[in-house]
Order: sequence, then C-alpha cells, then structure tokens
Amino acid sequence: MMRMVALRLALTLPILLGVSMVAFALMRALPGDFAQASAGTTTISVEALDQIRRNLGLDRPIWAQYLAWLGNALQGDLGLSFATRRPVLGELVPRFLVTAELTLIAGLMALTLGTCTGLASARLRGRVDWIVRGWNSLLLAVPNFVVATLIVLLAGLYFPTIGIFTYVPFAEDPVANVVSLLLPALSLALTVSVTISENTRAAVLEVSSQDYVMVARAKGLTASAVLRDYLVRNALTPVITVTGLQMAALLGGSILIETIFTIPGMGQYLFESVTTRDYPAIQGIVLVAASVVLLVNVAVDIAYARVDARVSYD
Amino acid sequence: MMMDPRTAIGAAIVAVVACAALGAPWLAPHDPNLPDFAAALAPPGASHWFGADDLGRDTFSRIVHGARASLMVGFLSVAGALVLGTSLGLIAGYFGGLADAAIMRVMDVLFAFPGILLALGITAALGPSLSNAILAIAVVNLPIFARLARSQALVIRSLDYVEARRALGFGPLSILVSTVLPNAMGPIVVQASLLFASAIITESYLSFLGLGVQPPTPTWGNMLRGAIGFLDMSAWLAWFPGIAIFATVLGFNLLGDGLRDRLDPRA
Repeated sequence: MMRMVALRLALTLPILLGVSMVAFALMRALPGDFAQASAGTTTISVEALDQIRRNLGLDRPIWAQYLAWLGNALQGDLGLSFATRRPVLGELVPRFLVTAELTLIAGLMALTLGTCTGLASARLRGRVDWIVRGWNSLLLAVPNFVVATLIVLLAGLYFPTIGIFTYVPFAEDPVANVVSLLLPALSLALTVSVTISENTRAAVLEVSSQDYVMVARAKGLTASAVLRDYLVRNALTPVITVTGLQMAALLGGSILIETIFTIPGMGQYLFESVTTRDYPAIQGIVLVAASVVLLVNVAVDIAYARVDARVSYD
Repeated sequence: MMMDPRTAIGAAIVAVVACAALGAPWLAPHDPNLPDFAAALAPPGASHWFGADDLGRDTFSRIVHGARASLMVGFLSVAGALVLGTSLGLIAGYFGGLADAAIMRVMDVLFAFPGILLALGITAALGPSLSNAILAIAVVNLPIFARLARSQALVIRSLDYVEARRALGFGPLSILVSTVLPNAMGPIVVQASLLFASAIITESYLSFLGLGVQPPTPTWGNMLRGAIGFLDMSAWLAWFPGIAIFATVLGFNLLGDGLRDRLDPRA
C-alpha cells in the first residue's frame, strides 16, 4: 500500500513541476515588461524601473529566475500581490477554504442527483430513461454561469426577500453559511451531475448483466436486496472515481459562480486579480488550483485501488 | 440513410446558427453597435424584436452578430487543436520511445489544469482579444486530441495493412499520412464535434469575464455580462443571449452524439 502511494506520488511529481513551469511562463509571457507591470500604470523613471528589475531578479537568466521563484513557492512564498502589496498566500488561504466548502457541497449535490437519476434511468428504463437522458442533454448545453444567472433572476422575481447575495462567513453562523452556499452550489452541481448520471447508468447496466446478479436473482433474493447488495455496491465504485475527477470542473466553474453570487472564494479572487492585472495573484491561484486537482486525482486513484482489489499499480 | 431525429434537430440548429453568423449584416435590422438612447432598455416589441440594452442597442442584431464570434472561436480553436494535437498524438503513438515520452508528458501537464483556468491564465497573460481566446481554447483542447490520436495510432500501427505498407517499402511519414491518419480519423472527428460545443461555452465564459472579444463587438458572453446589472427590470437582456448559447451548444452536442453513433464503432 505505501509502495503504491509512493509510486503514484512519484508519477505526479514531474507533472507538478511542469505545471509550475507553465504558471511561471504565463506571467513572463506578459506583453511588455514585467517590471513595468509591477510598478503599475504610473509613469516611472528609467532608473526606478532598473531598480525594480534588480529587486525582482529580472536581470538574471530565465532559468535562475524560475528556480528562485520555485524555491520561494515551495516555502509558501508566492510573492506580493500587485494590488494590495501583501503576500499572495495570505490572501489565498482563507479564500481557498471558502471555495473548498463550496465545491464540497456542490460535489455532494451532484453525486446525489447524478446517482439517483442514473440509477432510476438504468433500473426503470422506458419513459424514465428517456426523460433522464433528455434532461441530461439539456443540462449539458447550459453553461453554469447561465444557470446561475437564471437562478438569480428567478429568485429575484419570485422570492425577493431571500438574501441570496449575502454570503455569511462560517465563523459567524455555520448554518446560515451553508444555506447561503446552497444556490451557488446547485448552479455548479447541475452540469457535473450529468457526467455522474451517465456513468451511473452505464455502470448499473453493465453490472445488471453480470452472472452474479443473475445468480442472486435466481436464488430468490428480493429486488431491493439485489439492488442494495449487488448492483449499487458494484456499480458505485467507478462512479466515485468519476466524481473525484469532476473536481477540476467544479473548481473551474467556481470562478464565475463565486463572481455572480459574490462569494469571497478563490474564484472571485481570480476574477478580481484578472480585472486588476494582479499577475502574482493569478499565478498563485493557477498553481494552487492545478496542484489541488492533481493531488485529488492521486487520492481518488488510491482510494479506488483500496476499494477494488483488482486494481493495482505494480 | 435515415437521420435519427436527434441528429436532425442538432443539424438544423447548427444550420440556423451558421446562417445567422454568415448572413449577420443582412439579417440584422439595426447596426449592432449603434447606441440609440431613445430606445434604451426598450422591451421586446415591433421595432426591437428582442428589446434593446441600456445603450439602446438592438438585442436581436447583437445576438445575430454574436453568432460570428462564437462560431469563429469554436471553429478555429477546435481546428487548430485538431491539426496540431492529432499530428503530435500520431507521431507519439506511431514512433513510441523518446518522441512519445516527450510529447505526452507535455500533454499531461496541460491536461492537469482545469481547462477554464488554463484558458483564463493564457488570455490574462497575453491580453484579451479574439485571437488570444482562440489560442487559449486551442491549447486547452490540444491534449485531448493528442491522447485520442495516440491511442488510435497505437492500435493501428500493429495492424496487418500497416505491416503490408511497411513491407512494400513505404517510409514512416507516408504510412502515417496515407494509412494511419485516415483510419484514425473517425473518433477524432466525433471528438471535434463535441469539443466544438465546449469551445463555445468556454468562449462565452471568457467574454463574460471580459477576456474574450472586446466590447463593443457583441458576443453572447459579454451580452450576458452586461445584462447582470439589469436583471430585476430588463430580464430579456439575459434571456436571449442565454438561450442563444444554450441552443447552439445543444445543437452541436446532438450533432456530435449522432456522429458518434455513426462513426465510432466503440460507442
């Protein structure tokens, strides 16, 4: 087991390194001069610009700059925000926690909705199957920010008293906090639930045709016992993996959802940073988000191998 | 050859959107960028079928012109990713070894990013514009084509007809282009039609964030963005671009599913 975890992490390390290179390169691909950008839009003397270049280490070769940046990043130093002049990491952590909570709630919603519709679709077939699949292909065509806009619109029209735009911090009131995240999470969850639903449907159909299910039926087990002990148990393992892999979609989707619902998470931070051209912040967010997605995928792989004895990485 | 109804609906929607994009200058009753303050926030009616925005610009004209940005970004970004990604994937799968390792590790890195985040990072770094949006979405889609083409090439390279070409003395490049490529194309074309839909979503996402085509040029994404401030009184400003995105994406998804049923033997 330890061997497998180590191996899986070792395989991820070069990718993480590549991710850091891309994040670094993004900031250096800026049109114009990084020193100029970091100084802001004010006119600035040539000497002062040179001073900034030296301070930022921009006069050194590019690989040396990268290594210095990587070394700092590994120690948790993601640089100073252009906008606030404070460390990016300090700004990022509390917002990351908000986004983590939002994606967790959205993930649970998507999992519940997806498995229920997928299971119903595969077991009941006929009209239910038709409705579920139609619903899924409609959902797939609506970007989550359109869903969010519609939710805001409808809530504003029919329930103007609900304060859906007011995010409540967890420390202030945990219950109100979760409630304030429900609608944003729903807008994130709908699209993701389609993937889960389609996968659940396929998995249940496949398991249903297995010999052991036929044996279970033949020996007289009730339909609900077969469903509980054979179908769901065997079909849900791959579904859990799929859900884990949707993490990237949830994180990406949170950018607009948080902006629309004004939730102070990492997505909104990214939006603000893009608007103010706060490049160190953009870089930090891209790096953190990609790393989190990679590590979640590793965790999902490992969990999968633990649950399913047939999977091995040796 | 009977088309199944879902594919037919998809094809019809795509045809309507394509006509709108091509014929925008003739179809649009008003100049999409011409403000008319007398008509500001006019509700849908006879002179403005879909209403007008806060500057009095005709929503219908802007929707029709917006189809151009969506289709252009969708087409060019997917085509670019298809050509480059398929070439890289075929080379990686056919030759294996060092080329395979080098190409696919780069693809792994690109694949590790949440797609929208990578597209956003690229457009933020290069500056918001139509061409950078195309580039960003192409980069996001690149590893998808590369992986697919590689897996196709891995299977095809060991098949008898490739062996036969090799025995006949054809060079690797000629075999790749004239034998492997045509046999690998089915699933790749299907993937392209499905990615077209997601490229349109990503484009609207980027222009919603102000990172795509720049105003005043209308796109469905920046129209939605502009509508956010007027949801309580002028909801149509959000409805029409929302419906346009929804219908177009649905059209391409249906068409892609239909193509898959026909072209992809595994489905």
